[in-house]
Amino acid sequence: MSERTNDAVAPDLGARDLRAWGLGAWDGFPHPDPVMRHVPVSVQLPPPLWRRVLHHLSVQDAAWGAWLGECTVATLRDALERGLAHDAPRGDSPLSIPATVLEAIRATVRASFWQPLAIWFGKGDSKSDGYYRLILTNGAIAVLRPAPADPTRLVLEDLFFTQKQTTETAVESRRRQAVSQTMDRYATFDPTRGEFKPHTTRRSPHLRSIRFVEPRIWTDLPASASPAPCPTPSELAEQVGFDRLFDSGSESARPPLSSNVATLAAQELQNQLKRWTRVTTNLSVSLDDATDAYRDELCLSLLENRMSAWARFLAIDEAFATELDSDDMNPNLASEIDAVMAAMESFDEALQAAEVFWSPVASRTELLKNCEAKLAGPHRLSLPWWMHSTPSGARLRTAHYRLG
Amino acid sequence: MGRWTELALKLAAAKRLGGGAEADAVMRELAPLANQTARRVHAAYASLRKQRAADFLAIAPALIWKKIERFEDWYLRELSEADRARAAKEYFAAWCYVELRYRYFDAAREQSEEHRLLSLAPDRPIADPRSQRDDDDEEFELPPEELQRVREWDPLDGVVLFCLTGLWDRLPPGLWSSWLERLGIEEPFPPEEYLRAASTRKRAVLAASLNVSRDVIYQRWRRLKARFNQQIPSDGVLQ
Repeated sequence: MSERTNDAVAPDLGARDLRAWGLGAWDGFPHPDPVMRHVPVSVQLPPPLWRRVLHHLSVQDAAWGAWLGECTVATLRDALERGLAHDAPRGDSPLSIPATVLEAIRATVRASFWQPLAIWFGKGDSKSDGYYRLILTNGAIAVLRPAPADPTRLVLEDLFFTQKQTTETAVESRRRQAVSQTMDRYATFDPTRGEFKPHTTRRSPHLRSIRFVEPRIWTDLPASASPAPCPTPSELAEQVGFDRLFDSGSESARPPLSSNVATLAAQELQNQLKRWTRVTTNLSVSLDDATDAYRDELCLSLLENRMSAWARFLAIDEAFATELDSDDMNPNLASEIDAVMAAMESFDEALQAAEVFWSPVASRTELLKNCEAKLAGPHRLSLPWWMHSTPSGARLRTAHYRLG
Repeated sequence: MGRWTELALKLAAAKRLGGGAEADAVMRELAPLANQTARRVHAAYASLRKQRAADFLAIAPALIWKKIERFEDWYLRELSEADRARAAKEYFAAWCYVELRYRYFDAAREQSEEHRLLSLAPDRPIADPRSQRDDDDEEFELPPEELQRVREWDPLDGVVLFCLTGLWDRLPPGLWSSWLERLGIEEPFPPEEYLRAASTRKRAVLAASLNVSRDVIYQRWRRLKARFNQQIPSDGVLQ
């Protein structure tokens, strides 16, 4: 079956048609859902996809640059800005993306349809027939919604990197993060076995689908060719903190941070907390026009950030408690830990004010339940406030905030 | 002996002698440590929401003051001479952390109790439209013992409370109709006029619809509010 790209369809379609169809379609792709492999699919590229891509390019430029190359990203951004400008004359300036750029995206998507790192079928908020969340071979997330009553057509709704991936430069890191985040958010952790439960089969009116292509999730990730880079103070603090949260008291737990590493980790955490607070404050605006999958991303990444801050604080505080007993206490650590606590309080305040937005997303995904299932030691006794969140409680509290 | 430990022992001794200016002065020196420790506990467990966390931080020095003799008892009973002689060891800082952590867990338990009755809260009138779809999915959950209690209510109490909280359509099937029937009120209720009324006018419109005085509504609402706030001690669930 032939494949159409921008180049292929351009001679046949006028500018108005191109606008209507985005950039046409990619035909003859294998269905990404393994149980549907016998059905070749056509991937539609609608105009809203490119508006969303333009948004993602602006906030995830490093990840897109690592995928397509910085020059290509600049070309794509330029093409999209011109093609999607509100004042572009209708019909005279079609959305025109260079064929090489489109081909680079198409090649990755096609390869990923054959061998996705992970695939999840979700219902989202809109209560339509659901959508596929596909992790591409480069770690990017593709959101594909089956066309109504036609399982052979998939609409590519969105294409983005997760919030955490955008700070990563290595492709392998992004791939691993995308997979582990997807598992944490959508798979169910079994605390008795210490692993995620096997995938379950779900059905929808038009599709037979599976939640995860589980055997592929890990085996498709190549073994690291180079030794793991030395972790930064923040990464080290996060690792130690999660050891304390999830693996309290075991022999394999990492030792406490040194005073100097804890001080550096505290400084980095403050900066991140300030950034996360700004992002959280703007959450309601960011959610406008977001796809179901990107709404999940925006909301769940806040909670992941909160848990990361929690873990890192524990590691820093452990070092601080040790310092309290020393003769020459590091004065920097004492002042940094105060500043971290103030920044965490501000972040919590913003997160509580935005609870009405993220709580419904959290309640229909597995992230918080999985985290609770993994908790160990005293942290099981008293769960953090965000793990108690319910949509109805969030609405009540929002009402009270508004009433003053 | 560490500085904080020394101050704590001094405070315990002063308190045993009746408090006074010396105890106040020592307490002022210890208060920053109590505050900082309370913040560390809150950051490490993060169980309390904003207002309760603020309350906990505010009363942390008082909690320490209340239990300071216990620290002295523990210090004298559990530690050997050699342990006490360790110059840098801050026993009080560690004790303070453990003590405040227990009190923090107490506050978290109180907060959890509050969640239990949250489903009776007046969240519907200004619910966020973004999450409207979730409303349809959610069951209005009354625990069995609450449900039984509600069934036994005076019908006027039930109608007043559930109208003013906006939750009348979440009651078990038949209960709302039976209340209205016993009051001789025709359905649908509340009437359109009530639904359209501004929040400041709701009570007046409800009084007119029920053919009772505004004072009756006010008195009943106040009594119901007090009844629930006994179980929901803070955060003002019913305004």
